Amino acid sequence: MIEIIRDVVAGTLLLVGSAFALVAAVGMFRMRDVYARIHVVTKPATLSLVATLTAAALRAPSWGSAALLVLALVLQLWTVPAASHLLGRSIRRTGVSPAVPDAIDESWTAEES
Amino acid sequence: MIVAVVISTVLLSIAGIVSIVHVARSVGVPDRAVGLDLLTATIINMLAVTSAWSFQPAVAVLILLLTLLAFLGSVAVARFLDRTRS
Repeated sequence: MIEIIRDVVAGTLLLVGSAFALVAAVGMFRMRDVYARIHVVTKPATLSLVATLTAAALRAPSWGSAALLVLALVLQLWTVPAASHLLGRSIRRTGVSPAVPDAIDESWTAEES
Repeated sequence: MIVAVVISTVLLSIAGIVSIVHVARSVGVPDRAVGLDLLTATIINMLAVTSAWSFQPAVAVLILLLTLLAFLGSVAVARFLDRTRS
């Protein structure tokens, strides 16, 4: 009984996670500039990773690999937003202007560079 | 379970193909970095589906490895962009 419940929960989480990945891919095609693409890719990708890694940890073959998967989940939650923020800041410093010019406050780039 | 695995594999394949096409079509390093970010996330998702389907303990190690590799790659691209500016 408990295994059936576990499998149903894991399958639902897999479906939710892959749907979020598809949302990220569609959004990457629809957005116009690189800032909007970062914005629209990072958050659904993080959510989909959380969902699918939780499903994989629910169906892990042993406690050790479940712990490894949970560790990978925590590392993803930690590093994916940081890496995207770093990438966006570097792109902004390189001088790529957004498609909507008023979208970003210009005041901090003057003192940085 | 097999229905969920098949459907999510199809959805993730579409996401991966879309990101590969985006990387091939876009111009410049920043757009390609974003596309490759999504491609790495899709690969990790696929590995998680694999790990949930086949009870192989080695896939968890692969997922952990690819997590660290994706972060290092993004940081390296960001540093590269910073260096080409000055």
